[in-house]
Amino acid sequence: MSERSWLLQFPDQELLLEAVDRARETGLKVLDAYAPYPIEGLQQRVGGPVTRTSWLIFLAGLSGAALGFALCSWSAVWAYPFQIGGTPLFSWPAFLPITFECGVLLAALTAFVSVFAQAGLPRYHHPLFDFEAFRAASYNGFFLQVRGDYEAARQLGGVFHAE
Amino acid sequence: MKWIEGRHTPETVSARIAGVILQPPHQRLWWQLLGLSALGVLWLVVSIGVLLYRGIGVWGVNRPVGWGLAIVNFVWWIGIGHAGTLISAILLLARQEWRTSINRFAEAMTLFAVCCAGLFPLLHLGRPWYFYWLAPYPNRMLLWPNWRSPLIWDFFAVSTYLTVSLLFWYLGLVPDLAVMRDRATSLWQRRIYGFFALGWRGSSRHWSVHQRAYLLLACLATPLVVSVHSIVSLDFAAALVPGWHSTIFPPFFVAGAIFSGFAMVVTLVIPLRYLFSLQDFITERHLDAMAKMLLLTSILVSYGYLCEGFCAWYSGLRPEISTALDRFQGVYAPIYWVLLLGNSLAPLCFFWPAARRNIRVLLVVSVLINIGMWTERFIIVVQSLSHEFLPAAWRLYTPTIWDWGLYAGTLALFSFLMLLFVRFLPVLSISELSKQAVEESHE
Amino acid sequence: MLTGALGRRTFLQLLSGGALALMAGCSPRPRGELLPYVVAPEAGEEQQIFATALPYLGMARGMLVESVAGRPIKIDGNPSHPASLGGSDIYAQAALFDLFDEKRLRMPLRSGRPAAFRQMLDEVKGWLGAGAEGLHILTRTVASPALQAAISALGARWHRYDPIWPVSLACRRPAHLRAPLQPCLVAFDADPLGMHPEHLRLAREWSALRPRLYVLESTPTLTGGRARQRHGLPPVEVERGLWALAARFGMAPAPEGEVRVEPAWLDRVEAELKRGDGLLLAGETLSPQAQALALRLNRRLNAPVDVLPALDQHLLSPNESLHELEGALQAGEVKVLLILEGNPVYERPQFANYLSRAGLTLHHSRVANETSQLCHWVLPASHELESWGDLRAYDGLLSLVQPLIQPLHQSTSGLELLARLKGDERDGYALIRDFWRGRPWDESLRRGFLEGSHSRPLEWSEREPGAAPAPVPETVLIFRPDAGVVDGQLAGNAWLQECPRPFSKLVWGNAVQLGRATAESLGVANGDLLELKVGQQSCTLPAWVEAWQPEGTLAVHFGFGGERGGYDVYPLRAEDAWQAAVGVRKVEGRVLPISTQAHHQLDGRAILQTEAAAVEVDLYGEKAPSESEAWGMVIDLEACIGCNACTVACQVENNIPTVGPAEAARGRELHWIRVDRYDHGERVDFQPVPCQHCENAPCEKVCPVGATMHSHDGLNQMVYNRCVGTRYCANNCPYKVRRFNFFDYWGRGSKGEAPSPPLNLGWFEGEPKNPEVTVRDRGVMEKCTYCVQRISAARIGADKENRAIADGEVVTACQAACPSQAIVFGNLADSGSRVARARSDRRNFALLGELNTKPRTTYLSRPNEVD
Repeated sequence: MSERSWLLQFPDQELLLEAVDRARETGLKVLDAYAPYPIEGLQQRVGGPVTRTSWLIFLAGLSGAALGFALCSWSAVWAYPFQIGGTPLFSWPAFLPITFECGVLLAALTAFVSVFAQAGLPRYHHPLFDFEAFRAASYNGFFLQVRGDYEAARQLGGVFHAE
Repeated sequence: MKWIEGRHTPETVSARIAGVILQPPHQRLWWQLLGLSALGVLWLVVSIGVLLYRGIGVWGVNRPVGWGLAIVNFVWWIGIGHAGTLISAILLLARQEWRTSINRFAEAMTLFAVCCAGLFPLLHLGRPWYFYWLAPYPNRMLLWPNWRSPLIWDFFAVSTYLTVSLLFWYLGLVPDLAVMRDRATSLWQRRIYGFFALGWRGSSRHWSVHQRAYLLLACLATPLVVSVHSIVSLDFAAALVPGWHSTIFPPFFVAGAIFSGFAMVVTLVIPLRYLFSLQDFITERHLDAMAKMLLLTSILVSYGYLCEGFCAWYSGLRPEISTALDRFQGVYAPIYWVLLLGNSLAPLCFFWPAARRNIRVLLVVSVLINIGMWTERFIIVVQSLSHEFLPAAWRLYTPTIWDWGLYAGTLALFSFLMLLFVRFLPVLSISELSKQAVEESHE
Repeated sequence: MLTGALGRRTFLQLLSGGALALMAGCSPRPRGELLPYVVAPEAGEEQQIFATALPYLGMARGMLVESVAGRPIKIDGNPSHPASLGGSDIYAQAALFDLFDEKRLRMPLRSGRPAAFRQMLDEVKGWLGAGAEGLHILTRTVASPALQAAISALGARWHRYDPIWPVSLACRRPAHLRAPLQPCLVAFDADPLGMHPEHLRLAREWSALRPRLYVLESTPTLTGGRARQRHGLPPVEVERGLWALAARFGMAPAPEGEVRVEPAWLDRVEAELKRGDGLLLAGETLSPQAQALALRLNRRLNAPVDVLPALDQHLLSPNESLHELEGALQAGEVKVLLILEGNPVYERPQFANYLSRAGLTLHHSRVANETSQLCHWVLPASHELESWGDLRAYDGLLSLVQPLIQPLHQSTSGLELLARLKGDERDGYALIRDFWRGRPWDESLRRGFLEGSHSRPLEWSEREPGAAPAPVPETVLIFRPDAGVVDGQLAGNAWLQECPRPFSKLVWGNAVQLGRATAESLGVANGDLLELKVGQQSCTLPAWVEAWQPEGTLAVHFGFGGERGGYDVYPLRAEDAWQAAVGVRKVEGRVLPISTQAHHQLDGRAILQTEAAAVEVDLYGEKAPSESEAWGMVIDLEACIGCNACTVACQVENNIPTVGPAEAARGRELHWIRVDRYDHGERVDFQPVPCQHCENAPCEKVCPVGATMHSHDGLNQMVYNRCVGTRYCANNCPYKVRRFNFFDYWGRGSKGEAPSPPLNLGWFEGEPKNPEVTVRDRGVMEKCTYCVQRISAARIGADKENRAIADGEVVTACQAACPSQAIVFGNLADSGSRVARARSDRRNFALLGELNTKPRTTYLSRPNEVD
């Protein structure tokens, strides 16, 4: 029999967590777990690649700030210098608010984009949506998707949906 | 500590909140209010049209008061908008669990308030069709904006704020849109919600990246809240006008923004919880917590007033002292008394727990606070300009019907957008409340 | 004698001249006729300057008019002419508006319908037949010898009426008293710096001399503003003060009863006069006896007063002359009445009753007014700037009036009209050349006046002054001409209507002025309505509190009413009196007069003095010394008399639109330089405030798009086409010199707000523009530019000749206009320039200098009284 994935539904998060643990013990491959809200420790147990986006966002913020400051300095000192109120051309204190805002903006955009990039969204068509019951994943149900032996999967408990 | 009342599970939470959209109560009232605000939006369009066709002269601005209701309203709306980001971001970082009952609603309020606010810098330009000259873009004239001007900082700050608020709001909304998609009863509902839900499945991986980004955005939004209204305050503090040129302005304005924003949240959330039967989620304890925030920020704002007065006196400069005294003795003095009543006196009642939990008191005081904060902006903008350095140039400002019309129009626009929001989008954060319900049921 | 009919040729000439004139400004002036002031006309030269004379109170002041491409664009004083000495006033500056006024009559009207000039001549001939029996002519004060000769040649009976008669009645015959200013001046209701035909010369002399000035007056005047000691008293008390002073010199019996003038003032003045360098000035509103006493006292003090004959050869007063005409009308003797200029129906309302008794009435006028409506014929009159003639100044100096442009409409000058009535078809040029035969024409035309033509002093003795007048217990209403529209003739001039009156800063209307205590006793504040009753006539006006109006008196200014805006007070004025007993009561209602300055107090700020706090630490650090050009300006607050000539001159030079009464009421007038008034103890000070061109300009810092920046030569530049109109710069300017175009003020009223009738005075439509300065869009900020167009022109000229710009080569409009030379402009980098030297004066201070704006415009403070 080929490796098939199975979808299991649990009524609450404790059962889901137990099932994840047991699934790994019985050698089933845990593909994914679904819940209406984030559950601590779930992702570690599920495993899966972890990308460090924090550094990326931090770098994006820095470069945004640098870009902002550079734009101000370049345009005020070289590209379009003009005398304003006796202030020096390189009036860097005045550039700071813009620098800050540019940094925050780029960091926020990066964070936002990274969420959906990492989550693989938008993805409107997913095999799981064929299951009527899966609808509850967003508000009511706790689902576990495993691959492997049918029998072992069945023993995890919960409501069993075939794939 | 239990914040949610009643025994709630994720199912009941989502059913209740989604039910507001799927089986909307008070339909007729909603339509009536929508109709009224639509009329108001129409009036807004007319006011804008008259302004663009005839010129800034239809307002009451003159020499020396070059900024009138337009800038007053701009700062007022932006201030109101800050509450949403504060609730979402700062309270998250401070691990205040009661934020989950109001954050979605407050974030939406932020967005709409910033939209309303953003109209004013555009419209108050003498030549608004050239507004894009404030943006740095390569052009044939080889011109760049003047970076030293606080208005350019404003441009960057407010657009960043709008963008980040929008991103933050949407990020938090995606899981709830998935809920709506899944609970939707009609095909079109499912399609539209599904489109905006981006295919969210609630996978733990999704949640993991979501939560990290959410936290990071909260970390970014926190200094943003402080910086944006500080930059808006620098519009005034960086000028040399007596009554504006005060270093207390950035923190004073930020405190005032949080103050007015929370007041607006309270004003709106009280009818909301009543009409949509959300008392389980927005409990008296939540109101109590918000009232405490109001009290705290009221004290901060009052400190700001004292500081202004003290600094004016301590400076020994006649223009500063004269402008400060004119607030009490001049033509605008009654407005200043309203300001003190609404901002410094009325919120003091929140020292009493009974007042903090009394719906009527909360409603009245929050409205007074918003009125008080509006008059504070009026006093800061208008009274200072009317009473500057040269007595020969002192002159009063009287708003015209188009000044008020534009303001009323933005109130209508705000109401219009809020009405649409409560009708079509989940007013509370379903996923966060679900989690909170589960956690509290374990305690 | 009237000869045959007007030739067809002449009629066609007139008609074609009119058609030509309809292309306003396109027709060049006839070559070879006009001679410019400085340079002989060259082929193709665009800009030229011509000398001519413009009247004020009927008498000439020499002016230089700049013409570009055949169109006059700017008027300034003629430095060679003794009556102006290069200075000008608001009336001369604003004369261009009257020339191009859209409300001017364009063609002759018969009973309100266009008709031919020739038809008028026929009709007149029909009434008069061959002689001039039954022809009466009513004119204003005529100071033109050519016109006087023409009237005499017609053989008509000549009457005169003028609401203002600026002559001295000290002697039995009307005279002009003239004296060089002395180091000590004592003025009794005299206003040499303000309402005087020679006020330009007097202001210049006063500024050079800075005499010790002591003033008694019954209403605030510019002269009183400059006084060391000034007291406001009712008119009769001013006269009694004069008698009290004369008594101290033994020249007159002391006044009986209490004299309200302070003894300290009398002591002081007596001591000053005894030093031997004093001069008394008595205004023409005083009684003839008072004027005579002043002249007698002057002679006793050996003051060099010359008695010159009045220019008008009439012996009767205007009042008596008009009565004579009314008598003739009543008796049915008047077949044809020709009214040259003026508006007697408006100025003397009862005259209307008599006017209908004439057979045929003709009104020769520039605009249609109350008199025109009652006359059969209305004939368009040419403006001085488009006609030939001559005119005498106050001292008799004869000037030529030359046109700067062909007549814009089918109008005639007074000379031409009278000639036509005689059957003479020559144009004005031929007529005046004929009259001037034997006199040096070219030189007089070029220079602006006929050398040596001033009047010779006469040996007339003064009247008997008699005893002092008795005190008057009742409230007195004082009549004065308005500082802007004078007698009402200039009420159609938007520039003058919008020019703030020196003391009240009122625009677009008048009010009744009263002192603080008087206002309190009546229970009125600014804007409350008061009903004034003089005899049978009553008039209701809004009140305006004026600290310097003596208690127990009320002052009103005539020249308003009807389409002019404001309130007509001529009906209250009987027989040309300057004051009258009045009954006052408060009535319901409120109309707030429009004022451009609401607050006069200094509020304890060092705005006028040198004690401005110095800046301790300059965070910007020291700047490198300026380059070769560093423009700066110094304004002498002691010299500034507050006449507002700079304001209107700037408006004319820089195409500043008027905004109308509604906008002015909202505080949106656009004057780039304004004159602020401050009450300062016993003093009133005037402070002109243009853009200070700060080196650390607060406005430059806050403009988001960089529409205002600093040039290398120190100008704060305003780039109109970059301005998006945030008005942040105006907010951040502590001097409030930036002006915003809230509406499209040049537009045809569709985007702005046209004032509702009756104040639609040809609003905006006809205002002439200077081609060297652009016109600003709606939504754009504007402000004083140090007349950058003049700086650029000078720089171009200097570059062409490979030299630097010399000191005095660039003269800003305000500097040129100022009659007392209070404004000095030039290159600060040139250590020998006037402005650099003025800046090193110890009186020099920067307005609001403690803000570290480092303004390039600084002030010389007015010193406190020094004994």
